[in-house]
Amino acid sequence: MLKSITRLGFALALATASLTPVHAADKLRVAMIASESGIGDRSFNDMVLEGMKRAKKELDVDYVVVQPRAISDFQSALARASGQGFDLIVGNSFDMVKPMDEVAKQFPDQKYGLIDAGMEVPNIVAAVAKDWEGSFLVGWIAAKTTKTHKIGFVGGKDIPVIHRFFTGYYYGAKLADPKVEVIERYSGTFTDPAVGKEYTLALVNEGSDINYAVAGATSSGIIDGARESNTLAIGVDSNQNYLAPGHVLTSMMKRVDTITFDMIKSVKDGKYQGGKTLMYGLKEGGVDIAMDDNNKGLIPPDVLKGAEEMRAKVASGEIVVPNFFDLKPGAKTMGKPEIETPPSIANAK
Amino acid sequence: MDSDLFYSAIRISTPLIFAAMGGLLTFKAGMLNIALDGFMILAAFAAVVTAYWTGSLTLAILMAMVCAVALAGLLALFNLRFKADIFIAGIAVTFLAYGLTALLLKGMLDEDGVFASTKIPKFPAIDIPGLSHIPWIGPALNGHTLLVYLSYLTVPVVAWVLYKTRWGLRVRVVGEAEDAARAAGISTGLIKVQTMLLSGAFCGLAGAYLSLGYVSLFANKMTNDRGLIALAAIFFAKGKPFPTALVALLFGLATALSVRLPEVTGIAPQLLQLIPYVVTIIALVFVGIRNFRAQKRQGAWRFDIS
Repeated sequence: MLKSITRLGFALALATASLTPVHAADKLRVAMIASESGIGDRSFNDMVLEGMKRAKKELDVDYVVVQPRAISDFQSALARASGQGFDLIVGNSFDMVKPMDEVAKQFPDQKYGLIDAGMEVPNIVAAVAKDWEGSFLVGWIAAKTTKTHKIGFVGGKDIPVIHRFFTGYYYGAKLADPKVEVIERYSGTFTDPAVGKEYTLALVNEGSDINYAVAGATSSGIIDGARESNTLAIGVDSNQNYLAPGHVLTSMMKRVDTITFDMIKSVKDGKYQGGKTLMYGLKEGGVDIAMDDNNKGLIPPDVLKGAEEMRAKVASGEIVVPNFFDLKPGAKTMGKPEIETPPSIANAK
Repeated sequence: MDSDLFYSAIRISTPLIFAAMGGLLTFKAGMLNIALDGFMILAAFAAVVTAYWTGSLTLAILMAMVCAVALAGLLALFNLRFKADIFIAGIAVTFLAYGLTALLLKGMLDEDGVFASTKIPKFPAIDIPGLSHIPWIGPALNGHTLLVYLSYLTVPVVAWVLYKTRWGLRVRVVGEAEDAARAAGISTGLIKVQTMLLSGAFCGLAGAYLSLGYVSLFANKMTNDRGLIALAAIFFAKGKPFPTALVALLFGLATALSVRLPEVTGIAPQLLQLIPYVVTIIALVFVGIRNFRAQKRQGAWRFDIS
């Protein structure tokens, strides 16, 4: 029953996709292939859609959303969309890499865009948000806001992708205040809020009053722990301030909407950069801090002002935030201006 | 290393103890209930939704138990009426619960993956007068929420029911020698259904604690295989209530240690996070050897003629 409903939905999505060719000849047509979490995920897919909507308003383009049932349907969805003369087909997530690679080879004249994963195929433009630069900014804010001079970091797993967040966070914190202590922890799971809460409470017990949560669903427990212990948490990827109003200092957002909009604009302006992987940092507006009613007043105005100066310095190249993937194990210093690496990097072999 | 560690161990063990007491009843009645996680996740979801909509924690706990019992009824139906293998039916029911809660989360609350709200009421911490004055033990035992104390209270109750009541005797006979039970005129099917439904009720409490007592939110698959750990505890303790609870507590302590040890030792977190599972594996090996020997001794008493 359920299966047939989703199947029906899929068929409808495709039907709308195939019906839309009625359009003005000069109007740009863009297709979005949603990734697994789907529209309504309050994360990447919703933000891609935001970018589409903005492009519709500002650039006068038409867009179509296709929602594949599962990862295994990505390729067929891409292939079907490719046969319908869209000016650009946008996908997101790492799961889309292989299907898009296959389809892009079959349709060499079709332009594709991939968000959140790097690729080098002539008719695909890839874009990656520099999460380490965003983490740098929240680290800087955290170090300036902490009252205990101790801040924490809880990653989902002890893996390089997560180290990249930590390195940026650590760099920002140490640049703001060399004396601030940054505690690095890994919960070992992306799916256990209860464990996330344990980590928060343990960190608070150690004296940390702001904890950066980079741990998927475990993050929700870290934020819940902040509410219970009356401390602050920092969200990640999308705006998570709403999860515990007053207890989420800010969220390090990947501005997928900006990236999507820019991609569509590049096609419209004839500046499509197929074959490249574009990096979206603070300068390009690819990462940002989330400010809304839920975290109003949590960041002191002077800190916020200072953060804007930091953002400008990163944009101008005066500050270069270290990317973990560029650091060698055992490196003693990192970034520009240079600071000492955290023990987890300095002592690595 | 202070009372804080034990405080958090008690908190971590609570859902394990509830689930283990539930699983223990079916274990005693001769059924391997692998669907504890499924019961728990449905209960966790029902609890959060009810608490969010009505603001009542009592209703939320009741709803969690009702939903988990209903799912347990479904498993009993598959296993006892339609004769499906309990292991396979249990896995099916668990996956059903995972999928159903994810779907309902989207359908009822329009959220994907995680649901949190400040409208969800919290359990107040219970202050037991005088307890906090006892050095060291006091701070570890005092200030938990209602469900935590309830979980530890269920242990003697389950032990009493199993070993001191007529119904408990029947449950054990059904589990140990079903043919003999049938010959003695015990309705084995009824006993099995009853234990299965009770196991649902216990998992209902475990799920409600997980989503309302421990944290105040629901996330997909948030039980994170606690049901399987509870099963391991039951096997380790050979289905005895007090040792089972002790193993659950040991697991909680190992988890609490893995969270707090990096602070003290600086050992790689992966190694520390292995502690609870290594403890479980060692325990299971130990029990396996012990069971093998016992089986050899008691071989003559087996009633399986088929």
